[in-house]
Amino acid sequence: MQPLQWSIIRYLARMPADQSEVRVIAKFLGLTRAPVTRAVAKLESRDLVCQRSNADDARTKTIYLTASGKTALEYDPVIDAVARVRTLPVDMQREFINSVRSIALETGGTNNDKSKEDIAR
Amino acid sequence: MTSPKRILLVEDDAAVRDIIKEFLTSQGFGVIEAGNVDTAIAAISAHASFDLAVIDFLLEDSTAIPIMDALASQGTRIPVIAISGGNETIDMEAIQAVSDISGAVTFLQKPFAKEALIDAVTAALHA
Repeated sequence: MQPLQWSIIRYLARMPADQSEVRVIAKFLGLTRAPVTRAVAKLESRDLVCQRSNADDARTKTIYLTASGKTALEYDPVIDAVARVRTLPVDMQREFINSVRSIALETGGTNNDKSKEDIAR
Repeated sequence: MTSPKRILLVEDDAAVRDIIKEFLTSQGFGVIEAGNVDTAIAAISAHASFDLAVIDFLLEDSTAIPIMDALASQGTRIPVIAISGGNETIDMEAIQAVSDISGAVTFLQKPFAKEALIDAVTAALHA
């Protein structure tokens, strides 16, 4: 699974259904709608997500994780990374946390990084 | 009669802060509000017994990190719900990641429904 696809299913696992439209997911990820739409289509073709038209506006669709999508999250590589970090001594964990904070906040996440978008093509 | 659960609410947008405070108060919570890092940390020092914190991650002059660190230094684990609408320079996935790694139990993307907030508060208090 590609990084953007992981990002999307992580998002769907945590956010309420009323925030599970492509437009909102794209805003969350700092991307335009197009790469998110493509990634959702790929996830749907693999039965990891499904889309349902909204009752109050049939032009928009809410995206849901399927049972297979929820199962896939059990293999999220982030889980293994977190487990490895937690085996570190406390002072090294603190250094790691501070490094992640700095990298994320100083680089702006992916807002200035087109790699996720490129991967989704 | 039990005393209401006490929530620290940190939000630099006064209008948003008022809406959240009014809603949480209507749900039976005691809300102590702050609009910036200094006020929040002073509130933590003055009221050491918060049950929960709802913190806007991107504040006008800082982030929620010093507040989350101040809460963590209290010794007792106080669940934090991080909220954010993002900005032009950092995407919300990164904000959520930093919130998570700093100890937040939940992240809500603004704007969110009141039901989403009360669900998050209820879950955090019973975690």
